[in-house]
Amino acid sequence: MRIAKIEVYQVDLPYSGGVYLLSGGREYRSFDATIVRVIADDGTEGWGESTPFGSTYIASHALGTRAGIAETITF
Amino acid sequence: MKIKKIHIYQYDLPVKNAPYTMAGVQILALDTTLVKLVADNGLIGWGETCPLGPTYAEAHAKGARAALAEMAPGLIGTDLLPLTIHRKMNSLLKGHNYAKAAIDIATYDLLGKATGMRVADILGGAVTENVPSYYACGIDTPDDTARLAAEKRAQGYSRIQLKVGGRPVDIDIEVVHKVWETVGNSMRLAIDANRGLTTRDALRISRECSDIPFIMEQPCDTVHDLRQIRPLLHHALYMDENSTDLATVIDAVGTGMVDGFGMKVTRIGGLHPYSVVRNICEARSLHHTCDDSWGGDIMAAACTHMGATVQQHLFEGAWLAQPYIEGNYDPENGIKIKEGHIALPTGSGLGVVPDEALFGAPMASF
Repeated sequence: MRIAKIEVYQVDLPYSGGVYLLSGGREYRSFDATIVRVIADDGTEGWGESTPFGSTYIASHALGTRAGIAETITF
Repeated sequence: MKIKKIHIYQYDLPVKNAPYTMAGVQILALDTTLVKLVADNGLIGWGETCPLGPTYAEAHAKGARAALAEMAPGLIGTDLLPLTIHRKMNSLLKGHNYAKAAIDIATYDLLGKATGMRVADILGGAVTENVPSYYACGIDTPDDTARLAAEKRAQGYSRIQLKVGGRPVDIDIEVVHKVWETVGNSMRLAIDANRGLTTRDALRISRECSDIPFIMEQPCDTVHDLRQIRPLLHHALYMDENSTDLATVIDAVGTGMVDGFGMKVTRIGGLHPYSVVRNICEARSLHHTCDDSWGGDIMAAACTHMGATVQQHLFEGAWLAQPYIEGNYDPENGIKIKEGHIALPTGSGLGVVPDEALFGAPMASF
């Protein structure tokens, strides 16, 4: 079974509690999620997700997630 | 002086006499990212970051542009002062030093343009107008590497770096012996595995070349590996790829793990944090280079300005991608290595001004 196609989706996930607070005055109202559907050559589908916790929690951010996926797909 | 606009450009830098081989990877062209900062007084500063493909470090071209796009809206209106800019960038995005470096370099270029000073002088003061470079020999046979080393010595280089790793270690050992027989005592020698040796093979090279005074640069993959082999080596040890931030540099220096660094402007986050590394090394009499992984005139100028400020007895030279790149961004004052040295640009700021028509329209503007 091999990868035939990769689809990348973006969706905003609002925080159900309104505002989520972290140290340093960081406020989170919504999280920028990246969802991936990998379609195999036999038609089987698998779903994956990576949703960074903002851009300063660790060295990870939503635009970078999608840039990284694009890099691995095209390189 | 505040940031008014940020323009991001993408440009493919073709490799001259391609491919360039490093640690088994063949490189034909590099995807570079240029940043143009426009200040509220109309002055312009340029920055650049050019990862060496997506696997040399945790850095890639699309990631650089994504990180810049992440930070750019929040940077508009920020005072164009290095510490202020870095604190602002760190409040907008954790990590991604290699992207922050492009903004850092453009900030220094703008400060220089605004004050009439060269970046080297803003960084503390140039101690030379003619910055030594060093030559990196890609992985090749013993005879061809020795021939290339002799050629580079004749061209004026005083230091040569040999790439090793990724093949039977006895060939690497033969290369080191052959090069030393050819140029020994007339060039300083560095052996760089770019993380590619096991601790076993790094120790074997050191043991079987114990009478050859090279420095060993980033032989193995992790800080742990370096710490393991450190007391068993016959050679000075430099850290390169592992020195990803100031905390790691401080730890490596403070624990006596290294004798120096191969240091890169983008990996450490730009000229502002680089000047901290320079000062720490000077305080402990450690050696270091002043390099970047790749890049055109903007990156080359940034390395040259920083290199010009390093006490020359501690300085291991500035490596530039320039000899591997066709042409220059700045047709008049573009950076060139001549006789193993780089003339420090004389104009204000970086002293190079790219012909921006080369880059086409910006791929993003904020």
